[in-house]
Amino acid sequence: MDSKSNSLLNEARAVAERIHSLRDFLEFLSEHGQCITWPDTVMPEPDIRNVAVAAGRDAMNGPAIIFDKITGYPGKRIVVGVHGSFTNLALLLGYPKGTTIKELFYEFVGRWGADKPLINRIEPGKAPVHAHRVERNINLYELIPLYRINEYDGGFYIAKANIVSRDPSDPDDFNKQNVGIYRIQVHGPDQLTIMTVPSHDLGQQIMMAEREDLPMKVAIMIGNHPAMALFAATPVNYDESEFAYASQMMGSPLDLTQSGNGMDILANSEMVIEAELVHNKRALEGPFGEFPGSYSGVRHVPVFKVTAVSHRADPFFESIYVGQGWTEHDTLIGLNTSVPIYAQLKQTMPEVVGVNALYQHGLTAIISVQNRFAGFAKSVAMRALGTPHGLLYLKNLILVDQDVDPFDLNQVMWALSTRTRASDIVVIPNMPMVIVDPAAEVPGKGHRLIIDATSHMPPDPVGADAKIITPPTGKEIDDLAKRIKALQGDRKQ
Amino acid sequence: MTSCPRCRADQSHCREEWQGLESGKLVWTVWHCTRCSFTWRDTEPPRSIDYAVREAFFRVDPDRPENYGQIIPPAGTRD
Repeated sequence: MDSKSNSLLNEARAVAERIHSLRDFLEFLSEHGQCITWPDTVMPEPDIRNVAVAAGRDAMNGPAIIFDKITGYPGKRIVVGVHGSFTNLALLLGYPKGTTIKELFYEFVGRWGADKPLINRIEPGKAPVHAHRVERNINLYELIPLYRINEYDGGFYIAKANIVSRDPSDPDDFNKQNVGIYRIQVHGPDQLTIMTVPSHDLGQQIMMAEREDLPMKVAIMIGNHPAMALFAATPVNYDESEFAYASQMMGSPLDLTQSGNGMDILANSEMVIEAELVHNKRALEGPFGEFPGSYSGVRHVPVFKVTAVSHRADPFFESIYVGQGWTEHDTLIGLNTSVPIYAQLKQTMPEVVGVNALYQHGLTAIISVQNRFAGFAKSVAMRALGTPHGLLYLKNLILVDQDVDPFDLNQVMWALSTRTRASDIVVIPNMPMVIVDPAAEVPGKGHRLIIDATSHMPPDPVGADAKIITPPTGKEIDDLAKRIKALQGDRKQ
Repeated sequence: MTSCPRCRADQSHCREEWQGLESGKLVWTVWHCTRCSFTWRDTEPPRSIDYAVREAFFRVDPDRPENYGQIIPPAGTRD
């Protein structure tokens, strides 16, 4: 291992050991100019929305933004954009500002896995999250500076919470405990709905609890260790623990404690809402401005009653803006959407070099691959459609050669411009499709598009008089590009 | 006189949830419609809370529950 990799590893370890909570991370981001406190007094609507949208324009370097002067919520704090830029993710992994998305992608690939859960148990009485506890006269509007994220949302949402639930029929199995991000609409001082679908872990658990008449409890963690938010948004197998993923990702133990209703929760979260399913009760939920940049409809959704709230002193309400891209949602889940597809393809098609599924949860993805033989890239695309995420989400697939960085859209456009023939475009009609795709002909069904922008090879006839230039590439050029940036930065100072 | 900006339910269906105060002075009130489940703050821009200004597409008719699907049907009503 060279010294540079070693120092990176050391930096990653130092960051992992330092960050145990959202607060730690905000402090760390501030030191790197990646977290700011909004100087003005804001109205809950539309000011927070407006600032969050503006911050989303800089996907590479946008900061987290703290609001601590919110009209009508004296003393309350909201933070948005914690995962709003790739630089914030890079810092979390011990990488410096200026790290490319491609470098981050391979770092995620290297850390992927859940075979080494690292858990540090903390007694509930010593856990910061339980510093303050409310068990009577609960009013979520009093406890949380709730606000409307998009103007036509059906209410005030808790949109970036990590929800812990257990298998109602096997509540003692740690690995069957699910941690997921589901949107939560507040319906009253102690009532809320959680939006999930039958195919999600939480949806399965709700159906089972109602069918077997079993109690169904959840712990809703708000303002969490930044690795947790990353991994609660990642689809892992039903019997795999998101806590294990998150801890292995950081390479450092996660501090866990117990909620009052028996779930494993992060000991350092800003707030935990404990709630119980009200069997067979439904409320009208939505619309909610969703990740494709369009509103979901209004539907009947299961209702939960809040039984207790624990929180730290002066808790941050960590929130997120979701809407027309680019938003924090895209940064939060982009790499975690890309990496499993890459890993699954790589198992049988080692020629796959990279997967960029950053765009709206993979509705558009770019795969770079070294053609094994003519037409191979199209087979890779077909296989990608068969991956767990690909089944519903991968709608538009662009295949590029191994020398094209799928995260550099200028390079991708070059490949489209110079290597694509109309006959290299495949449309597969009437495929299953995620229901929130606004371009679907009917919700839940749609067409898939494959654009093969890889180069031609025998027996394919190639264009006459055209020979691709092979410019210098690789680490040496990447380092030179960084040096140019650094020299520019020097001159500004 | 408050009414629901989304379904026009009258005041008897509008439940006061919370009042925001600054130095003891009322700055806004959050309401919830017990008919269509809409929640709003009375200081929001008209596009969110004025029935006449809101896009008609986003209206909800609580008398037509069949218009709004069940994501997870209650037990006993599932096929």
